[in-house]
Amino acid sequence: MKEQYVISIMSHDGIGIVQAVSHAINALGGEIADLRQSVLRGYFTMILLAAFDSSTTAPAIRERLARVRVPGIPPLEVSVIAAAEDAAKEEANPLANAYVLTASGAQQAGLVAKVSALCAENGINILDLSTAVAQGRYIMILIVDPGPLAGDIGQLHHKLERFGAEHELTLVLQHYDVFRATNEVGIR
Amino acid sequence: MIQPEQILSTVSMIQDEHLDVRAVTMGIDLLDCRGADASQTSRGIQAKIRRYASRLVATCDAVGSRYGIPVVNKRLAVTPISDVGAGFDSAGLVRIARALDEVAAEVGVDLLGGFSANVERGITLADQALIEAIPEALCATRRLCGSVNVGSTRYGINLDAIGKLGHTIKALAEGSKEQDGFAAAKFVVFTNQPTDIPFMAGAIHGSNQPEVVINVGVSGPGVIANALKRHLAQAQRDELGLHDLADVIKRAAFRVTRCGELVGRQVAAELGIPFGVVDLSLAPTPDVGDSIGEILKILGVDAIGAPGSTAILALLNDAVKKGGLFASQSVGGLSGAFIPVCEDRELAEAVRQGSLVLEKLEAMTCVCSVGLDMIALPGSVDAGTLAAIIADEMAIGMINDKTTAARLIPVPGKEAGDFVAFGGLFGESAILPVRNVGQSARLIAYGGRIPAPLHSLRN
Repeated sequence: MKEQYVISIMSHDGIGIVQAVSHAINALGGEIADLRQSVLRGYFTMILLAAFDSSTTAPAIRERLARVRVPGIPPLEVSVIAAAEDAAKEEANPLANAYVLTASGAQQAGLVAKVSALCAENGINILDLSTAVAQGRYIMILIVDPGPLAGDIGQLHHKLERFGAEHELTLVLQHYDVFRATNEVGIR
Repeated sequence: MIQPEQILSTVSMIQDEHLDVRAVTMGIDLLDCRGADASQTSRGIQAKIRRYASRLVATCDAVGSRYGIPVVNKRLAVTPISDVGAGFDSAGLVRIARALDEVAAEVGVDLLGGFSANVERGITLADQALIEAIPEALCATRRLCGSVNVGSTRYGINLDAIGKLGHTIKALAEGSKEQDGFAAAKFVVFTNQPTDIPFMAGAIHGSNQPEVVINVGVSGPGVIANALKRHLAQAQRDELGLHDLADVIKRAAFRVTRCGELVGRQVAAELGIPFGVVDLSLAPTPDVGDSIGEILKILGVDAIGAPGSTAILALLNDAVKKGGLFASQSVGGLSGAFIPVCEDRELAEAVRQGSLVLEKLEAMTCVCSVGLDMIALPGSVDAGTLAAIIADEMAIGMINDKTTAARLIPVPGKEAGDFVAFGGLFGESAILPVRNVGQSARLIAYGGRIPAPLHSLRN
């Protein structure tokens, strides 16, 4: 019987972290099912889903990964939690009903807080989020699941327009398919 | 996963560069609407249009909202009325015209095309009745558009028809003189008219088309102009050739076309109607930053109409097609760059300044779609001269095996250099001078046909 765990790793960035972590998981008899890794301004973060024998506990995994050493990098920050059963299932197409929300403003301060509050209040789930600076404006790019408002995108557009006017932000919401259509050769 | 910079450039196409879907046009076959008289036929037509098109506008708006790409115009194209109304007299055809206009308003579309006939090889009694009905039909209606195909590479040019249509255009302008001859802007004369055009005034639903179909016209001069500007700002000038700029245009056209294809297919799917074609035309609007003229200037002429303008337009037209062709499963309609003078701020300005003249426009239409489009002319130009201008344009289409069209507006009471404004997408322009007025009367008086060229014999 296998148990699924979600493991998150944070540290300074450097060469060999993924190798060291995956090696330690293998050593515990774990199998990695899914993984995302990102680097932000010299800092590394990774989230992964792995299956272990039921005899392997969360504290044991955390303890083993905390002992991982990568030359030139301080010890890793590690969190481990048991995964829900349905996490084991691969999502068919997580972006099939996704929208891209871009928010831009002249001020950086509070941008993420304002836009994420808007999402939370309207039941909009953020699937992916990054920030950028272009032409002197601060920009958030969110890939979102509009949740309860998916059936009435017109209403959501109105809400975004009102919110944008109130907070001096430009908010644009478009279905993810537009970005696939204009940036990928195969769309079907 | 799409990268952030790709997302930002796509958002910018719509927010800052005027990308939209210019027209979603539903083509509907009306041949089975024929009744015993014009009234019964009109009722049948209205019932059928209601049945298919009542959800068109709402569906386009919903899909446009989902993708964040506005569908600017929702339109209908119908079977040429000379076929549907064959046997009715002109009064009966005007009755049908009014019925079409009413039902177009009812379903909320801005224009309906198809008050049309094909006379490329000869005029039937039905065509004759339709041509006679055109002035009243288009002056008495708001949304109805008409077209007559007078020639083709296969069958040559019907000069008799062109002679009649010179008078038709004069009558359209006179009948709408309160609106500066606007009714003439709803009428276009073609050679090699395609049967799946989504753009007006030339949209029809030909007899080779399915029962009902969704065709899409894309736009995006602003997207192309901005792509060129960005590229020029980043690149070293001395390393750039026109072939590099053609490549930039191709890539921008690919993205523009993809948006049209996506929106069109989704509208068709939600209405349960087959998808027809994307028309890869580069169609300007009078908005700032949505101009073909601006692209010509970026590509190297300081005045539109200066020597080199035709060469640039040839490059542009070709690159748009190459980029768009791969982006769409099925391409059709006119597919090329339009140069409608009134509808393009920069072209209209070039006319006002005198750098762009009728003869240069005619030359430019040899290498692009569609023809002498939205050209305001002095109201004093006679029907014979209008017919001769049309004949020249049709000859270009016939010999070059391409579509050409003429949408000429002889503005009543105005002369060259005066200004005319039609409003909205129809735009505004100074009135172009016509040289050698009245010098072509003998040509038109000959009538008959200009025989099809040698290359019509392909078998």
